[in-house]
Amino acid sequence: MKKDTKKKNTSAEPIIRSAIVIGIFILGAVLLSRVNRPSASQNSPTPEVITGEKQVIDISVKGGYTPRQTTAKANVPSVLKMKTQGTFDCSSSVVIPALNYRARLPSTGTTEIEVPAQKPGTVLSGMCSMGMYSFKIRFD
Amino acid sequence: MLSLEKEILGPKWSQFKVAFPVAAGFIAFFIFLQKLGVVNLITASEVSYPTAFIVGLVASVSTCMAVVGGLTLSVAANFAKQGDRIRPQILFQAGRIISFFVLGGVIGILGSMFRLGTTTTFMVSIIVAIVLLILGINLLDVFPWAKRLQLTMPGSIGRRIHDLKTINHTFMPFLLGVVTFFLPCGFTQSMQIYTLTTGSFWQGAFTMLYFSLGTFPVLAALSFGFAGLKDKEHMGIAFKAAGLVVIFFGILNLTNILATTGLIPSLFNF
Repeated sequence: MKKDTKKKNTSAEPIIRSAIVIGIFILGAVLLSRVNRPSASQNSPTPEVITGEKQVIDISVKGGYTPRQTTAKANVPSVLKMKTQGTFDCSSSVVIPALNYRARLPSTGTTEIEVPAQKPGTVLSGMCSMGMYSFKIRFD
Repeated sequence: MLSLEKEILGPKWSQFKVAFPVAAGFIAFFIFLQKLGVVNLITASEVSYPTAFIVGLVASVSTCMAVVGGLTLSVAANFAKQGDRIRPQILFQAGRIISFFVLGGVIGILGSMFRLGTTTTFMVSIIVAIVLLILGINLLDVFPWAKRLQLTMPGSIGRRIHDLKTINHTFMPFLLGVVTFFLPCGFTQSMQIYTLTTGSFWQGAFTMLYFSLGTFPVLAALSFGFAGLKDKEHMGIAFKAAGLVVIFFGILNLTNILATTGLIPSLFNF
C-alpha cells in the first residue's frame, strides 16, 4: 500500500516539476515587475464625465479592462475611450456584441467607440475576441 | 458481460484519484497566473525583436495557453499514448517554429492581403474548441467510442498511402505545428498585425521567429512532459490529467467564443 502511493506520486512528477519551474520563473518576473507598476485599483467604478451632451467613459485596456464595471447615465449617448498602452494581448481585440462592434485597437493609443443612448437598466457588456476578458457598463 | 466490462474499466477509474487533483492543480495554477496579471510584464510599446521574444514568453502563460497550450498538450499526449514520445513532439515544435518564420516572412511581404475575417476567426475558434474537447475525452480513455477519434488522416486518404503510420506520426505533428500559426490568440495576432506593417520578408520572419522562440520553453515542457514516463500506470494517470486539463480548456474556449456572439453571457473571465 505504501509502495503504491509512492509510485503514484512519482507519476505526476514531470508535470509537477515543469509546473514548479515555470511557476518560480513567472512568479519572480511578476514580483519584479510589480515594483514599477502603477497601482491601479481594479473593479472600482469610475464616475463618468459629462462633456456637452455626451458622457465619456474611460477604459484602460491591457490584460483585461479597467474598470471592469462602470455605471453610466441612461438616455444619454456615450463615448467609450479605450486606452491601450503596449497592449499585445487579447484585450486589444474588442467585441461588443450588443452594438455589433468588433475592432482591433492599436497596441498603443486611444480609440473612441460611440454608444447610442441606452435605456435605464441596460447592461452593455464587451469582451475580447476570444472572450477571455470582459467589461460591463450599467446604464441607470 | 457486465462483470467483464467492470474488470476492464475498474483499474482505469482508480487513476482519476491522482489525475483529478493533478489536473485541478494545473488549472488552478493557470487561473492564478491570469489573476497575477502576467501581461503587465510587457512594458514596451514598440515592437522590436527582444519585445517579440518577451511577448512570446508572456503569451505562453497567458490565456493563449487555453488554445495553443491545450492543443500542444493534447497532441503530445495523443502521440505519447500511441507509444511515440519524442519524435512527433519534436516535429510539432519544428513545424511551429519553421512556419512562424516562413509565414511571418510571407505576411511581411504580402501586407494587408493576409487577414482572417471575423467569421473565419469565429469558425476556427469553434473548431479548435471542439477538437480540444474530442482529444481531451479521448485521453481520458473511459469512453470506448472515443477511441475512434484519433489524430490520424481520414481513412479514404490513408488507404491509398502505403506507410500510414509514418505519415501519421511524421506529417501530422508537423502540420499541426504549422496550424498553430493560425490559432486564435491575441498575442499571435498582435505580432502578425505588426508584421503586416513591416513590408519586409526578413523583418516579418524574424519577428515571428523570436515570438515563437519566446513561447518555446513552456510549450516544450507541455510537449516533452510525457517523455520521462515509463510505467503504464503512470502514463494512464498523466494522460487522464492531461485529458481533464484539455477538456477544461475546450469548454473555456467554447463558452467564451459563444459569449462574443452575444448568445450566452460570459461565464469565465479573467
